[in-house]
Amino acid sequence: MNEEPLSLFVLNSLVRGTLAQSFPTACWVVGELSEVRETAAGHCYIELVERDEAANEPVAKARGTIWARIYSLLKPYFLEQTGTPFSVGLKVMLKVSVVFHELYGYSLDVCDIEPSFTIGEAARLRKTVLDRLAREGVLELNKELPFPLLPQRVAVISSSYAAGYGDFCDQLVHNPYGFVFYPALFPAPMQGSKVEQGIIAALDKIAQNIDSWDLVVIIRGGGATSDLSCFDTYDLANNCAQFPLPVVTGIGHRRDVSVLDAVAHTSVKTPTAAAELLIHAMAAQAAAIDDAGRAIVTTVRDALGAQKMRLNTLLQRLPVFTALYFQKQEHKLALYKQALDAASPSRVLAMGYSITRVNGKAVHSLADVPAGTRVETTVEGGSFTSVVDENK
Amino acid sequence: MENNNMTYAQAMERLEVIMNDVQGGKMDIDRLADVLKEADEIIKFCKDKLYKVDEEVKAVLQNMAEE
Repeated sequence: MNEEPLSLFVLNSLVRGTLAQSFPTACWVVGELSEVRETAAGHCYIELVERDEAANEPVAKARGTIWARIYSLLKPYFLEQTGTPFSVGLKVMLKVSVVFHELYGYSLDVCDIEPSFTIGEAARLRKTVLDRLAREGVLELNKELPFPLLPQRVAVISSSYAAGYGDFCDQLVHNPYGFVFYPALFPAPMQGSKVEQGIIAALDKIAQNIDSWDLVVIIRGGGATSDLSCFDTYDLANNCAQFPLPVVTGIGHRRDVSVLDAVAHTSVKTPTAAAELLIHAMAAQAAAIDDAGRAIVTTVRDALGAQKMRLNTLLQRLPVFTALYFQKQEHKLALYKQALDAASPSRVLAMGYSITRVNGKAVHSLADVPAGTRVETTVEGGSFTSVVDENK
Repeated sequence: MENNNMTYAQAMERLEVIMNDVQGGKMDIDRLADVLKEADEIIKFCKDKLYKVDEEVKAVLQNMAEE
């Protein structure tokens, strides 16, 4: 060892120089935010990690700084674009300069961010969860439940202090038809990391008296851009999909459809829209009742009318029928008379036949007239008597 | 027909049956008055479900949520 040892500062200066040469310009890097810390001065210190996907173990890590000048623009821009605050757990794509400081070591200076990468990552995660639910056959389960005819007994999951529940109840109670609803609140946090656990607990509580409720409504009021990622988890979606009552969501969002929305029976944008959905369902029933009532009255009236008409027709036809009947009878009588006339004895005598009687009784056989019998014979115009001479 | 134990769905089904019978001419004319009376009762029962507050239901459900 004949070389002089370097001072640490000199060594670090050499490293700094070498790095500066190797990374003359800023470059894009992707990673997961494992730490986000804002300072009073408005700077933001972050830690970026890359994990091995299978083992979920970190394989690389770097500290970074977003100076206040950049962060004051970058923070609202990212929230506006993604709907999600710049926070731990997000996959981000950052434009960084590699810096090395003799005292503080290696770090990244962030100068820009690409929100579409985060949006894409979130969409990819949602798709992974949706694919799994589909594979397990639960994705459509809740949608297959029949919607209640009268969605009146409404178990509402929402946060008790947020405006969403108030809007929903207002809308229901003041519906223009005067329909009755029975909403009841099962409180649960509607943002942050406790959403999943909170909603599942509320669902469990509703399930204890499952027959008492017609449906579940999950609502959240509030801002135009708000973090939806808490509604994208597998366990929450799985619980909702398999819940034995229809689940309606109105968790207020503009951009994406959360996994929870995807498994819900019906998904609308706002708490107010959720209330409208229920009111419409009731209005459809009210119309059905009115239609049925009217239809029955009309058909009964028609049926009575038809009977009346039948009776009238009969009454009108009766005299005609009667006349016809008598005519027919007269005709019949005339025919009988003719037939009778044709067979009368006077007509027979006129044709040259005669009738022979013994003691007033017509002779029908030889046995009636033994020899010596006195008979009376009637011919046309009169009669004569004679005695039987011989009986052959 | 007893209305007390009937569900809304059953009531609506019964209404449909009545309507079909009357429309199909299957209804005995001597029974029309009875049928009309029954239909009227069912319709009232259905409308009450939509428009009348059942205080008992209201109280029970509130309790369940607040327990």
